[in-house]
Amino acid sequence: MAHGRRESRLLWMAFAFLSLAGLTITLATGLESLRSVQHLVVLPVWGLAAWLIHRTADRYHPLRDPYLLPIAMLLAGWGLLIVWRLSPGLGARQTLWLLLGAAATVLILRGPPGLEWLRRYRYLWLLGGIFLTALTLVFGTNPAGGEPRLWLGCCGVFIQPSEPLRLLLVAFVASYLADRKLVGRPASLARDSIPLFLAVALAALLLFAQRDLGTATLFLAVSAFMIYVAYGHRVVLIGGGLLALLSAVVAHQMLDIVQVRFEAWLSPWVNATDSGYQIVQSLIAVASGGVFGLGPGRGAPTAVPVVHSDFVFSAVAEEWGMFGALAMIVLFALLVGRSLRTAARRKEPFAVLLSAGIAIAIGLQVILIVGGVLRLLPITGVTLPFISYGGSSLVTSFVGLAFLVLLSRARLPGAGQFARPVLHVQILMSVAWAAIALSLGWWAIVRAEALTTRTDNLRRGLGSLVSPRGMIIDRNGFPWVSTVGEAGEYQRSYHDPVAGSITGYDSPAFGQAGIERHMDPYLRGEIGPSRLEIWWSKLVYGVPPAGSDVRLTIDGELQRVATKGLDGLRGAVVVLDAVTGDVLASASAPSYDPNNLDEEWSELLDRVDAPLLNRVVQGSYQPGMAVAPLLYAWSIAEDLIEPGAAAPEFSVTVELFDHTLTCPAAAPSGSWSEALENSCAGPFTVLGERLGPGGISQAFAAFGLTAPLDIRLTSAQTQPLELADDPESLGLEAIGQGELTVTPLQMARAYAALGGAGVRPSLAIVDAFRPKEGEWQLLSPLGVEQVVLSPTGAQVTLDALSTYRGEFTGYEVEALSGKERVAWFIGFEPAGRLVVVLIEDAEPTLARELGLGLLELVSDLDLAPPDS
Amino acid sequence: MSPEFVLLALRLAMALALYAFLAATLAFLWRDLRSAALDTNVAPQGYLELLSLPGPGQVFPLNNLNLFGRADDNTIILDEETVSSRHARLSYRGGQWLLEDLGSKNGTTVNELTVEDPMVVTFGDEIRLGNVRVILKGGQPP
Repeated sequence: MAHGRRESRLLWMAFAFLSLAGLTITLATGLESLRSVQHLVVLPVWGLAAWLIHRTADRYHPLRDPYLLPIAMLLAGWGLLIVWRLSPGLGARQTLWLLLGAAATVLILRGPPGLEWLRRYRYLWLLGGIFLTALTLVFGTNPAGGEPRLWLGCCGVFIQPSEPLRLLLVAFVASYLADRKLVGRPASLARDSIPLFLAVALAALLLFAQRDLGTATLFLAVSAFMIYVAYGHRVVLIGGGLLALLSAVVAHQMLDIVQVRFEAWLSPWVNATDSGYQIVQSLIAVASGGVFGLGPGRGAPTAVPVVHSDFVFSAVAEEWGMFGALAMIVLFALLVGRSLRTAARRKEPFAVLLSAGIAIAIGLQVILIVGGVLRLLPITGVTLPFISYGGSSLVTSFVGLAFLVLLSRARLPGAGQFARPVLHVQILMSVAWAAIALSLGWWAIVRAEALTTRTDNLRRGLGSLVSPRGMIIDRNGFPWVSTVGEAGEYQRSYHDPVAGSITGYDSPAFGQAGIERHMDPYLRGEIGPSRLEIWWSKLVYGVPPAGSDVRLTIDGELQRVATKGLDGLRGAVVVLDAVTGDVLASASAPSYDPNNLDEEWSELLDRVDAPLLNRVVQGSYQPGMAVAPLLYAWSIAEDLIEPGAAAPEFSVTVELFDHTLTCPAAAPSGSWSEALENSCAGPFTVLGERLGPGGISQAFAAFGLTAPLDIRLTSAQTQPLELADDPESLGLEAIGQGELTVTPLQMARAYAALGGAGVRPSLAIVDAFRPKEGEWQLLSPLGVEQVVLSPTGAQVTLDALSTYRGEFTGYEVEALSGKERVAWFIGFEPAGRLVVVLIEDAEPTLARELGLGLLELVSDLDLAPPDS
Repeated sequence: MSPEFVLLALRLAMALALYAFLAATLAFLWRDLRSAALDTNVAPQGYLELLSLPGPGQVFPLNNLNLFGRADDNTIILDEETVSSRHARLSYRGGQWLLEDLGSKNGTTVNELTVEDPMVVTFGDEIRLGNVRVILKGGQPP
């Protein structure tokens, strides 16, 4: 028989696929333990089941559809391998269930072909199913513990009666409608469907009471489709759709669980840690799989809760990729399509309605759960037929398959009387398959990058165990951070804790910060190696290639001194090369040791002095009179003042909170340059009024005080400055006690325009990266140089500042931030490097002494450009 | 060969096996569809040519079902006295022409073989109904 031959050929091909898949999982899990081979027991068991069913079918139903059995068996074997791979304990149980399902199939295929036993005793079967389901209201348990209690259990075996009930209900509806059709009186939809509706409603209500909403939804939808097939009235589908919408709204109002699921569906991203966790993780899994998948046994599908049951499709998409998942969808579409074809060709109403009903039930179930996993639909807790873990589900699927095979036996030419409505159902299903395929492509290709780079993607951490992360080294070539350990157990080691605030951390538990975060794509090997290399490594190993090293502009010695100087204080130190824009040191205190995050994390988070904050780029402070030299230089360039001209209100004091800003100069009057040198606030409040809101904004913008930091570190947000146009506000703004707050690095960048002959440099803290076994490649700066002043204008201002120890120029001020004082010191050494020191709640002398110490060091230091 | 490449090769083979299964299924389905299209029991074009009385040279186009006889409700009416009122039936079924004698008085022969059970005939066969001789020809009637 040609049919038998086709069937056996397809079964052999399915066996080949399953064998290869089984071997792949074995090899991927490393051949080390029992765990990597035990799932291979699937192959003989599957072979036995397939052989038995095939032989029985050949003997009793030679004219059957030859495609149903191989497709369903392929799916069942595939599902079994997946369950084994996800959880070997469940795999062993599921294997036994598969044998039971196969036995049931054989029994049914040997039984009477008319299925009279099912048809005649329909009330008995349905009541039996409802009775068992009702029992779960009282005796229900959950094998995993907790809610919902949908199972009946005894002696370690659990069944979920709602699964067989689904099939029994389909059989009942088919039998009931077939009888109405056979009586021969004119079909009356309304009269016929009332008893039917009652039976379906009873079953649905029972499931609603059990909170098994997915199955209840499925019941109602399948019944509506079957009535449509029987009567061909489109009003049934439209009415059913409206009813479904209405009940969804009512359920949303009344049931918390429905509300939670809708919420998770509509806005999963904002609920990514609670109600949306499962769906977000599922989409991340799909995205991680991409087009080709991570490979069976290579992914981390268990990141998705209950992945072996409802969310099994996301595991398929992750490990087998879009190609595998698409093939699975095509298999389901073929199974449903062939069964609907049986329905379209048969003439006996019971056969038509039963095969159509089972096909629709399988199709809708797949669409509901796969749609849910891909966020096309809200999550309904139903299983994926033949694939998901669950004995009741698997056996029920096999019994349904047996019915389908048995009913497919006649191949009569031409179409049956129900062909039209069945065709419509077929079209609707096809639309749904297409939608699923499209959304699969959307998540696996279009959104893949955005999803896989999310910090809650657990695979990132796992990837860095396998593929070494690049080093972070300082400008002299000393490694600060490197990867240590063996492949598979790589760990990050932070050699010098003084750099903690810059390097940040990369921790599977706590995420990333600092350079580790900002340069992550380079360190992780996503940028740097060639595209081909990255693609190949991801295909073969499932992770990007070894990461690139990145080089900082920081000088280790300066960094150590700066950090040490801040010991016991709260504050920040920056050493900047005014000409090149290189950050030579960047210390923030208090800081932390990235090696000890596990022990100290909660303490670090709770401390009021915020050790996790990198004050250099993230701390916003009142600048105080530190803005005075900048406004002075700006105003001279704008011809508003002259250095030698008398300054107005020279010795007028300014009241601020409970402080009084005085002019420490001895004389009661003096020039602008004397006002600047002595930090006299009075003249600068007048200057603020003269500049006006536009002038002040322009000056601040020119020095970059209101511009974001052009640096490869996560920096404080800048907000546009809105200045009030009244003399008092303008006066305060001009002495740095108004709206403007700055980070120490912004301050350093502004002063670099004075030290760098009027040019504000573009900043750099990371200057180059080096792919594994490659050469250093320079990174282009993020910003551009800006000419702010003329060289002479800059020099005039520097001349007006104080001179320390005979060689350094500097400026020290105290600013008030609410009740707290902060001390600023900005100093230059002759070669154009500058130091900015900020200390919270301290005397300016402290900041000055630290700053001068650093200036001594930096002027003695012979800084070569980083070796290329 | 590192294990990684063996694994990659296995994965490739696995994907090929999966898609081979799909391709084979679809190929079978396609074959079914084509043979179903050929199998619709539509007769190829052909005609009958009279070789004797009642009108030599006369042609009759063939349908799926052709009834020969003297009576008016036959599709091919042969007004000759040795032809019974319902003489024979020529039908196309399962890709073949079948000729049946409907219990005629003077019998039906194909190439001088008497038709007792339904007999398969092809283009070029000469059929005799009573004394009327016709030939079965393929293609358009002239």
